[in-house]
Amino acid sequence: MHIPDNYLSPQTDVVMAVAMVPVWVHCIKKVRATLDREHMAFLGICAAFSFLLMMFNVPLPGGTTGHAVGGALIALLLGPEAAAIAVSVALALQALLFGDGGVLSFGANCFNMAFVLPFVAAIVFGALNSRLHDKSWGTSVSAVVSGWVGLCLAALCAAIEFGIQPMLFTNVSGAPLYCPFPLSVAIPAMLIPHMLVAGVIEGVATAAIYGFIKKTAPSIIVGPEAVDGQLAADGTAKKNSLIPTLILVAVLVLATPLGLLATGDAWGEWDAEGAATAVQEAGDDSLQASVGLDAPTFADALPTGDYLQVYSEEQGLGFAGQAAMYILSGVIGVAVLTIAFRLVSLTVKESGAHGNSRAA
Amino acid sequence: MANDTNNAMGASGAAGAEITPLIEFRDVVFSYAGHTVVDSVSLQVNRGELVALLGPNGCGKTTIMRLINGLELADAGTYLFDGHVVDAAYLKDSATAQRFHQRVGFVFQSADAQLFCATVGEEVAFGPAQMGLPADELERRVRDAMGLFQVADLADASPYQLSGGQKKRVALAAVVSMNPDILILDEPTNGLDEDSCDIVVNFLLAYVAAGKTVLMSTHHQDLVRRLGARAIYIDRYHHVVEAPSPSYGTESGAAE
Amino acid sequence: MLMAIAELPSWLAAEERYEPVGARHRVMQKNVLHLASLLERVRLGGGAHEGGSMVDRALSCVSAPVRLVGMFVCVLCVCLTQSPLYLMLMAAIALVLVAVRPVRGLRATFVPALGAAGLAVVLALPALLLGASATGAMLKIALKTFINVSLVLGVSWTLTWSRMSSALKMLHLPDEVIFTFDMALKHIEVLGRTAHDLCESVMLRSVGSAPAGFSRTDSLAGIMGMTFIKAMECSRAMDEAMLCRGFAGAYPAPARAGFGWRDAVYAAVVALLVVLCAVL
Repeated sequence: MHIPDNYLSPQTDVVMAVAMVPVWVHCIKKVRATLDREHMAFLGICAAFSFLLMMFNVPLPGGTTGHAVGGALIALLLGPEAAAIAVSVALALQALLFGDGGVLSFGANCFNMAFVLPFVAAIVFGALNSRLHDKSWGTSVSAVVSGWVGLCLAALCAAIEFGIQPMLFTNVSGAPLYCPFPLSVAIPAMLIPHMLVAGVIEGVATAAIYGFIKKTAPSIIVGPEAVDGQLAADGTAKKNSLIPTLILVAVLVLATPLGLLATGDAWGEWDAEGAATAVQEAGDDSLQASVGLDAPTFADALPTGDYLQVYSEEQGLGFAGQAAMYILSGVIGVAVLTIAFRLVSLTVKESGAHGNSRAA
Repeated sequence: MANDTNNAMGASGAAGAEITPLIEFRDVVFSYAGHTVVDSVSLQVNRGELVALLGPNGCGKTTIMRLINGLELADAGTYLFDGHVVDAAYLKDSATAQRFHQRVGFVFQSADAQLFCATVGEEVAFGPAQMGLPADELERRVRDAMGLFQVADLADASPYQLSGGQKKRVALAAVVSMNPDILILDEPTNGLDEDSCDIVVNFLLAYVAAGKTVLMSTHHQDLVRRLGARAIYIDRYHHVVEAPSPSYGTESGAAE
Repeated sequence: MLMAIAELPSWLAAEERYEPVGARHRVMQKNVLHLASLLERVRLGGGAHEGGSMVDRALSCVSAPVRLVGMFVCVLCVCLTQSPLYLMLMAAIALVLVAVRPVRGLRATFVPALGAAGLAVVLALPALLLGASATGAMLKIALKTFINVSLVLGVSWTLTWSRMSSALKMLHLPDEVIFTFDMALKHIEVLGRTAHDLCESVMLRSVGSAPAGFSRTDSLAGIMGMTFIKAMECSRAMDEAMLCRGFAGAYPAPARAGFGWRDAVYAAVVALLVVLCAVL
């Protein structure tokens, strides 16, 4: 899951790092507001723990071992905000000291493992556990599912980051400059092993360690469940909606075969058509003939998605111009993702409000 | 009844002792990160003996104990346990290694670093539960071991909630419940109050009287006297000075 | 004396006759070795100062923030360049730096870099299905990854880790970030030691096959759980100690070091590499 340098274009790296800045700022503010006094050592020590957790071998069936990321566990124990900071620092240490994960792709790694993973895990855990916490197995199941869903979604994000590279960044002859695998390959290649192995490790490790700490030193836990517990004590147990969680799980399960069948072709066709029309509109002479005469041939010859490259070169844009275009397209992609996330969280909030009104 | 077994044990132990000591180091050398921590150390621990390792901080006492447990392997020299050379090959066979670990019980200096179960009861049962004992025997051992160290009332408590002295006694009970042949104790009375200390001392005396062997490290001369232990001194140059020196305190003072 | 000599239960007085069947717990051993090597790395904190090559020692003299920036620029150049010639130049530099290191340095820098590059080579095989250009791209990524990882590890090998966090300060990162970094670095050793000892303890007491109720996952959960509890205790103790010593919320940063001639030479070399990257 640690993306090394050179798989992603530097432009993508910049976009991901910029996307992380508001997350970090929000998390630091939130952690400061939540903790009663100067708990500065707290985050650093959490980061050290997160670092160790990433290095720790967990047994797999069949005698092999694997590593958990631990983002989900820390999110459940200390809340997603503290987890985001702790995992970010741990990732920085791994990148700088052990060469594990890239220096340039640090932002992308943080986005996947320090933002998507803990926040998704916390949301899923909150939704499931508020329903199941009166059952003896409720917390374990919630923890397993939250770790699994969180890690699979993080892997999906990483896959999308990989998959957009050959669409956006190719050289003049159409050869990919960075990761060459399109979405149709990257998504199943990342998702299948993460759904079958890494997600299971994350889920089981999260549940086992969370269960141990809950049994041994419950006072330490300040994550989503602690808040839930307080509410339950007040007699107004908040019931988060299961629907977004179920949708997430369903999407994940469906994404793999769908990705195999559809994604690549759809994106490719869209790009080629876009290229054809855009070039026509731009009134470019050299390309118009071939596009006008035989658009499908042009689309076939044109490697997936170097429309931007061709377009910008024909427009005589320099490197800065190209970079600006790529960054803009990246910003658009991130904005779309953010909107999707906010829509999901909106559903959660609304149904939470419903739950409260019903309780009242 | 118990006494009879003790005597029988003692006799057989004495018969065995003339052939092989339980633990024998022959010029063992061990270096860590370029520093020689154990410098051609030779020592013997016989069955039924209570031996105390004494020496200044950093002289290699803990490392010697780790060597005895097979946690570290000697760079040079030979370590014999009950007549067998303990090396990588010896510990490679898992059945042999497990039997070896069962026979050599090790209590760390820091009890914090030794307790990993959710409750004291599980902690004490962890070792014997793996030895394929019948359920009633297992239960008896856990109860007895907790009783010996007076932690029976803490069976359902989590180790996290215990005081330092209680943690130490739980760690001892968890190792003793495996019924090892030799107990290796790294500063067993460090940080214990008088009551906890008495519990440990009385246990050790009974244990050795039953023919078992104990090797412990300590800084307390009075503890060595109270237990009637044979003392092995290690100086700050990592050499063994087995003959009791006039006074450990002045010896290390003279070295400065 | 209040207590007489304790009376031993009969099973404890008898010699244990136990024949283990022998089920190996490789995970725990793996973890012990892994954590031990981690602790060794952290203890060395770099390592070049305890016997690095001449080039390493020269690099160690360059101030830490300059080196971090230089590393970042070099990594970026390697990532951006499309010139085979430039890649060969950087590969040559990386390999020469690695080649003159002592064995310990080789292990710390070359082996992980090779591993990362190997992964990219393995990924080039499925890329064959996508066409030669995709395979070419993966192989180029493999080479670039090797260069970049060995450059980054070269910095972590020649820069004491404590200097790394002071470097961050001089790069004008917020105090909180640096303090968090510092805390994390220091506590990796503390918590790593705890986890290592716990693993050893589990290993020593795993004297047979796990019976019902004691799964391997449970003991692993116990190790990490206790490490977490230890982490929380450390953090509470640290917070309290800081309060007691009059900590007011600001983290005193080391004074900004000057820009010496060594830094200038290093910066010039990096600048030359940047120019070459742009030209080639």
